[in-house]
Amino acid sequence: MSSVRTFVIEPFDIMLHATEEGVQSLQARFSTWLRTLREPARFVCWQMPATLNDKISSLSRKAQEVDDAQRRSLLMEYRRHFESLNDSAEYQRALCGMALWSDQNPRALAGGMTSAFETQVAEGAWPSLFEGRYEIRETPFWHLAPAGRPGGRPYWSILTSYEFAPATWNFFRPLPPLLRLNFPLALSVDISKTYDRNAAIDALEGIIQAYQVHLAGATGEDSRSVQRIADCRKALQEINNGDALHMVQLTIAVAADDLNTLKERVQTVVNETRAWFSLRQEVGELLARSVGFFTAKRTKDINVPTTTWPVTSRELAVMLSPLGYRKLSATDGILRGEAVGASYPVFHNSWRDKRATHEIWVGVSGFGKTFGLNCYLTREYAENGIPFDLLEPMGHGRHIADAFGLPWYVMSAKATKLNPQDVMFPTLIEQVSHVTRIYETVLGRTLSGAQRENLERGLLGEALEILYRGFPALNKVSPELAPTCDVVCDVLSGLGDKEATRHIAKNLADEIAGLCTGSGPWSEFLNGATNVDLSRGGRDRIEPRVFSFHELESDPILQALAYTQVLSAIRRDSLIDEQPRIIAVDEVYRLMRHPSLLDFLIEAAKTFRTRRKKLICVDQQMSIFLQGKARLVFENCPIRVVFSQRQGMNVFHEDAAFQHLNQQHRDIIAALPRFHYVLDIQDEGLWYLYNRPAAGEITRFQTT
Amino acid sequence: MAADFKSHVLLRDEKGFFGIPFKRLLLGGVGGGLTYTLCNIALPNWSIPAGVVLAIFVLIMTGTRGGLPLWQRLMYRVRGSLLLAAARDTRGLFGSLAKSLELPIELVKLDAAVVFAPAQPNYDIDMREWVTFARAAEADRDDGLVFVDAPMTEAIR
Repeated sequence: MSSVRTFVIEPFDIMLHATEEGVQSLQARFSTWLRTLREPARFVCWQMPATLNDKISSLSRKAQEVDDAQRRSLLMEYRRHFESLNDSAEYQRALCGMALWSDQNPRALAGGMTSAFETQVAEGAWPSLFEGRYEIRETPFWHLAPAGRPGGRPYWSILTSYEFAPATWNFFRPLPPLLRLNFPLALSVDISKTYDRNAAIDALEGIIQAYQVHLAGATGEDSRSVQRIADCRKALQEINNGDALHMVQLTIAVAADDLNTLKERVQTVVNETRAWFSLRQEVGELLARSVGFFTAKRTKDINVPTTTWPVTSRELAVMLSPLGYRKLSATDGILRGEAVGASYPVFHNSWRDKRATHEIWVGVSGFGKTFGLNCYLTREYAENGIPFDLLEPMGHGRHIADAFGLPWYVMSAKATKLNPQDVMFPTLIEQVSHVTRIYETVLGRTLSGAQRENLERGLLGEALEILYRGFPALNKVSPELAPTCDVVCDVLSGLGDKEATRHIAKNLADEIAGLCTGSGPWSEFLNGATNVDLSRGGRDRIEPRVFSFHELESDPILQALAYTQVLSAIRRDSLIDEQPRIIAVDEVYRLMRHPSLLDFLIEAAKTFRTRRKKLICVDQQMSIFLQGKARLVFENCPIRVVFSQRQGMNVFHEDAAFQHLNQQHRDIIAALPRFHYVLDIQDEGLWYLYNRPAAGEITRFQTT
Repeated sequence: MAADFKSHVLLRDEKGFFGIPFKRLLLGGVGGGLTYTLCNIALPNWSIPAGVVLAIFVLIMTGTRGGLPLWQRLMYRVRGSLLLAAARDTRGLFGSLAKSLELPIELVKLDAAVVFAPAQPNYDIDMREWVTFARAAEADRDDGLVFVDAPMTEAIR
């Protein structure tokens, strides 16, 4: 006899499939999986009313614990926001489970369901329908009551299906309205038997034959027999097209805190489903036995009189519709938005893993990317005390800097100096390579690939090594002591042991000097000691910082260099500790279009990840993250936040990374309104969200 | 896309008379006929009324509500009441009656810890099932790294 395996299934959001084609493909996938059933199976969905009380009390507790007055006031502000959400909505929490009687490897079974249902499925114990001891009671009607001290435990009643009306079922009716009833209930779809195809065909043909004989001898009209023959033929056709024939029974457990409410709720459920199927309220021994439908007990061991109904796989598929009704999940983590349609808040904790989980945010201008980022950074800072570095090119970093009273670092071509020779890496080789990359960007060409370029790279490296070796240790080279560009050019111009190499060294020194020293276009910015304090300066913790690059707007190279130096400084500090931090880089393509700086970004992403620094790369189009080496950044970012992508939809059709998206997902992405986005978390799920801001967030960031 | 549910395609339910399916009429008729035959031997004067009464009784008792025939619903209701009475008074009349009928008295009180016990005692992943290879070629030579029970245990083996 096969052993039973129980699985827990994370519901997905039907809104992401809510087109004719979307639900059609969903039904096709479900029924394909159901056709493979040979042994009994049972699908259960548990639903409990839920509140945001845990979140609210957690914020209150944090507000009492933190010393920082600003964080405290933010926490209280978010507390008020969640209280208002709680008061204006009725949330439920839902979980689905599947029990399969099978000898197959449970991981293989879970894998099969994961691909069929396109959601997370894991082998695991099912939750209990109720806690503690219960007893059956006869008056005033048959029900299950808590034995001993009730301790807030509800009364339960169980309803079992016995007749299905000839009606149309889909993923939106009749089961989802049941799940919208705001009371605790559980629904079980017991698939007690799946007929072997030949046996099902024989049985149906037998019935057709019997009815034909009956009709041949009957006088007058017998429309039910005629309809039965038609139904049997239709079922035969579906079975011949690959469906299986299953025997199914629905069981619904309803709970309430008092018997009058329980009676009322039972009546509500019966009335709600009457047009599709009839339910009987279990009595006596059957009441106790039918609790077994919410466990992994075989149907024959539950031993309730059979009132199953034969359905084909495509019919049974729509009975699994509760899978598409994702509800309020755990409140652990940061509010990422409100589910469109179902209107429940979605929380996600991206710090559960030891490593940070990087994110990519894309969306065309004006659709709420910057506003959303400001909200997210504020929420992480308020709730988890996670500081951030925001690098942005438009100047709207001022809003978040003003809101928190943070230092606002504005990089300016005239007033700012960022010395390329500042020490950013712990070893000489890495440091030399980093400075070489910056000079490559300045020169607009790579120093490798041909003989002359190779010699140039060697000479520049030699010059830098000479300069750095003049210090006792690399980490002793403070920004005030770091060699400047003119010193590098002086040393470089004197290198070379042959006439030819001396000539190359001199030419290279002249070329760099022409750009970075004297009256060169970038001398004001690069030649001299750095005058922005990017150092850690012996602090245990670095507070949030905002860097704006809008005053460099006219020069993309300068802007790329500034991004690189700031990111290098952040990276250098990241190596020292494992304190979580968020580094958000807006308009990241400014870095990525310079090949040498792209390498740096890829390397930084990896370093940040292992040191619990979350990198958020923000840009307008997803396509820039998928080309060439930039893909490595994309692949290091398991969280993707997609705002409207009107102009760049082709990648969502063509790229293998988005094969998990269906047409409905793509349609949603193509037509996302303002402040709406798709949150795609690898191996966790896909959400269609609306960024519902707190009142304080609107006040603070409305101008962005 | 939707699914149009069909009638019970595995059930024969041919039309009878007065809204009563043919098979129930047949059962009532057979029951009444048998009663008439048996009563005709012992109480010939009462055989016709007895046959008719039994036929009607069978028709009523086989009438379904909630998907169950009346006789079955009554039986479960009586069994349930008996169970409750027996649970209250295990040594009394109802207790003995329930014991003699082998009624499942344990169903009166349900313990969630027992009823909802996990189907499998342990859902933890057994890492010893996994073999890790640094290079694909190692798979041919069984050179993979494996998780062991405990270092010392494996060394003794």
